[in-house]
Amino acid sequence: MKILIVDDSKAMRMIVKRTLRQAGYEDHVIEEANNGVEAYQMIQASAPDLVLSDWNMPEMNGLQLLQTLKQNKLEIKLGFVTSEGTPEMKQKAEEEGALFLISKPFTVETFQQTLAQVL
Amino acid sequence: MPPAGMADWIQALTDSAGEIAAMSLGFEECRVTGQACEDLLASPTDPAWVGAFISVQCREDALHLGLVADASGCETLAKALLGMAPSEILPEEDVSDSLRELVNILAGGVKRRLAAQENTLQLGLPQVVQGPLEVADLTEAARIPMTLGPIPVQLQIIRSRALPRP
Repeated sequence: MKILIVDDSKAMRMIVKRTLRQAGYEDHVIEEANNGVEAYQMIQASAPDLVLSDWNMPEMNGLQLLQTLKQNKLEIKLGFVTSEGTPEMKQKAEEEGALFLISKPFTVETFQQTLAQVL
Repeated sequence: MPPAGMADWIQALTDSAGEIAAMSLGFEECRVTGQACEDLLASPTDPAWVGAFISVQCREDALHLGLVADASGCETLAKALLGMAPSEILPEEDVSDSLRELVNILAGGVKRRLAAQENTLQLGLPQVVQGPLEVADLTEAARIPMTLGPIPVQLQIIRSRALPRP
């Protein structure tokens, strides 16, 4: 199983990776992308089982990544891990086809409960 | 509902910092150590201090939210965020990256808390600045002295006239 973490912050990618390990996903292959453009190229080359994407990023943001995947008929499971967790953004994410939205700051338990439903 | 006033922003920012201290930094103690100072111009930020700032576009104006500390405090905050031991070495660029992420989470918490009053808030991308943040058309500012765990920090709110929305 492969999980792709998309975030322009190296610090946050490290934190998400650590949280995945603590949540019991230490055996999964973890890949990282710096923004939506890089993530899209990586997905085209080798589709991951799940994408965990930030929302606000330069180049291509998380929502644009999700829309690009849809437009190109790439059926990839994607959830957001973002500092923005207002009800409007959760609704927008759902409407666009995201599986979930985890708000920062998050806990290991949040990852366990959320990912158990999609992996 | 009327737009959020400075007191609302101060409360939301302080509460968001408390949440981050406990959930992201692992600090049990987080407290406000003085009165919010609403005159940053009269007592500007120490030029040696480093701050991570993020712009927030509102209905009628624009703000910058900041998390400011001295260099040693910034490094300790970054190591706490990354779960590193104090003795481990963290490159300066990773300290800056961690500070940007911290202020990003901080602003997300503020946006969530003020959603009922300000449902059109848009967050920008965070930046790290040494010394005071230079802002054009400044109208109002506040500084909240706090400790996050053992680290003295300042939370800053800098309000200016809004930039036109695209």
